[in-house]
Amino acid sequence: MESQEKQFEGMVSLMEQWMHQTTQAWQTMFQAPPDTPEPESPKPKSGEESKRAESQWQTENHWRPDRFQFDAAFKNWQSLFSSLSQPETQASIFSGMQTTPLMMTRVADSSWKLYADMQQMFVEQVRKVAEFSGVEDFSNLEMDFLGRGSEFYEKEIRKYFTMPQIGLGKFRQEKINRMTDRFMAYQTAMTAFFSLLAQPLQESAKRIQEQIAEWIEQGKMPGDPKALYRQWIKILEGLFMKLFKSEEFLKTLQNTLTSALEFHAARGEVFEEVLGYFSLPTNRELDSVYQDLYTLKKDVKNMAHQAKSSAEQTVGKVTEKVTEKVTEPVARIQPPTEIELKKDGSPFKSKGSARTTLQRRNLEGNYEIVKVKGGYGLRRRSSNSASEAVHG
Amino acid sequence: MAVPKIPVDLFLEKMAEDSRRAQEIARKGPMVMVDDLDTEIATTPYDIVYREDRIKVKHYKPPASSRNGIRTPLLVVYALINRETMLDLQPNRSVIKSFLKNGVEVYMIDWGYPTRKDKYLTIDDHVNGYIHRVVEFVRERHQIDKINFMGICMGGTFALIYSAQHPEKIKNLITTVTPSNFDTEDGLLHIWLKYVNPDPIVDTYGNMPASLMNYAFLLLNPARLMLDKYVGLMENMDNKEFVENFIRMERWIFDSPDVPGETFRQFIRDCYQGNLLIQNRMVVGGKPVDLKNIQMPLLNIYAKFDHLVPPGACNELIRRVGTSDAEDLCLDTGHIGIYVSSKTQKEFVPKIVSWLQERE
Repeated sequence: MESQEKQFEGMVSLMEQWMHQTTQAWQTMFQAPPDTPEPESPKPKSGEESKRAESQWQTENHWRPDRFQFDAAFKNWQSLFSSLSQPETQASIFSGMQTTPLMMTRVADSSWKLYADMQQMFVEQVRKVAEFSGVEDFSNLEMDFLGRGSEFYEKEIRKYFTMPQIGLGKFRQEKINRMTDRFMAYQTAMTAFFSLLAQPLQESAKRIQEQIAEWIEQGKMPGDPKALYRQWIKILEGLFMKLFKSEEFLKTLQNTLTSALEFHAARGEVFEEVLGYFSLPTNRELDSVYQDLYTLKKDVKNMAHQAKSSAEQTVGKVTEKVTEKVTEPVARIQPPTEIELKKDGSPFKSKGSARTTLQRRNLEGNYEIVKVKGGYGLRRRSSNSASEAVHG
Repeated sequence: MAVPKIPVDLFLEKMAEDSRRAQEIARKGPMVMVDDLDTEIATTPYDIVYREDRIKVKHYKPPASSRNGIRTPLLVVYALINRETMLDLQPNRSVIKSFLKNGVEVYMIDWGYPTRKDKYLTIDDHVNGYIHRVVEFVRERHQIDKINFMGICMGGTFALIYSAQHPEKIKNLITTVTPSNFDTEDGLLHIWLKYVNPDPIVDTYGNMPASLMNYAFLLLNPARLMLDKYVGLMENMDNKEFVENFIRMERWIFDSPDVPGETFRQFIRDCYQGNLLIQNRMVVGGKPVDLKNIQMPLLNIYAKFDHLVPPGACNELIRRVGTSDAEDLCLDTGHIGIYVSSKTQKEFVPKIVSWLQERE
């Protein structure tokens, strides 16, 4: 301990001497002769003259930096090293230096611990992968690992994409993260879905081999290669039917569809953000317009229908259907025939039944009962006779 | 141990034959594909007689020589899924042409291609809106009180709803491959759609995307629809007529409009998941749909091997309607084969025509 202190003291005094020598050397270099005037900043001149003056000043003085700054700096260095030679200062620095190895050891220790923790996390994840795959070693990875990929993604990976963001671009970044997250989920789900669809293909290949072996054993091997193909297609068809009715397929289908829709929606949000920059309307905005359009059209059609019904009942005028404007004219409602009969086309048997129909249809002012072949009919009155009917 | 009998000689002979055939196809097939192929569909002439928003009504007038005593026009309503061009897919297997040959005047609704602005259209808008106005148009055009009405698949469901709510306007009702009872596990769609929540689909996409529906339909039988079908094409690629018919079918299958969102939502919720229609609990336009109100004659046609609308989804209907003049007809074919199979063509349209004639 004492020897270390002595060593430290020796180092400080050495440093002090070196600093002193260095300071003197620099001072000698930059110190101007006593009677040399301080270089003045050039007075502002106009045009070329001022430019030439400035560069000349720079040329003459560029190796001579501002003396005042260096003087102040050196004075500071001197005071620093003077204070270093004080015993109290030396003692505090020495105790600080002693703690350095301890500090370094602690830093190294915590770094090593962090590395060990990270390695443990990685091993833990790998263990979980193995758990999901249902295998104990990776030398025999089974296809059901793919099928459980979705589950694994949701539990272990997704949390990194759903971390809340901060700052001005928070919402935008969250949308992008959401899109990425949903894309990963969609890819995982699609992989699982296709792996499921691949199973009947694998199984059918196995079964056709068994079938061939059976045929050979029974001596019923067909001579036509196409028969093998037809049999294989039949087996494949049956296996697909069985798969498609299974609970596992229905769940996977539902999961795949849901993940596809969620990705589509998340991607749409990002596109809306981009479209906003170009001042283009988004689907959301257009949907609101379409909804208004739909409601308006429906209201107009209902009103047109009501107007038509009341017009037919009260004045019997021909109206035009309200439809969308097209190149061809829409069909017009044909004016009613001159003589109206019963609904089945036969004439009214008696005046009484014709009158009853007139009253029921509220046509008394506009129609009159006339004799027709086989009975009676209703004929529209002319405008004069309608007026007579109203006013008597 | 018995020696296994493998007809190696037969096998090799067949393989050689197949190889020769494959070479022939490889030589001629590309020439057929780049040749001038006639792949047009819906070639029977028609007039557009009515338009409203995205929908059009096609009018097919039979030649004067073919009058067969059926004066009442037939309005055909197809589903919102895929296109009504199915009824006029091939010149020699066209349901429309068969009707015209038998003197039936046909009006057919073309639902068009919904856009995002159609997402708010409900079943009520389609049934008591568009269909109702088209029915009124046809009635007024012909000066008649009632028309003949035919619905196909989802269009048939709409036809049932309309006929139950406006029975006074329908003279005879024909439903073909029409799902009315959704509580069955015979078809994969009926199983899957019980688990699918339509709300996020509609909320995300607006309308039910056609591409998503196409994937779902292909997934119903991927072995046949994604594999075997194209193997069949490869095997017949040198046959021009086969290739033309194949391309026509491909055009129709993948020519899919979106389904308006609210219609899709209600159809899944009320029909596939709630099965409300057959129980007379469905409400459309604020009014209940009571199948007992269907008092007009009903011909219900369905397909035995239909994987989309299995027999179990169709054969409950005639027991639930109010009319006693109701008849089931089950054909030995599939969902699409009912319209395009040459065998069924000889049975399907003639049966409808004779049935209509008896009730004219």
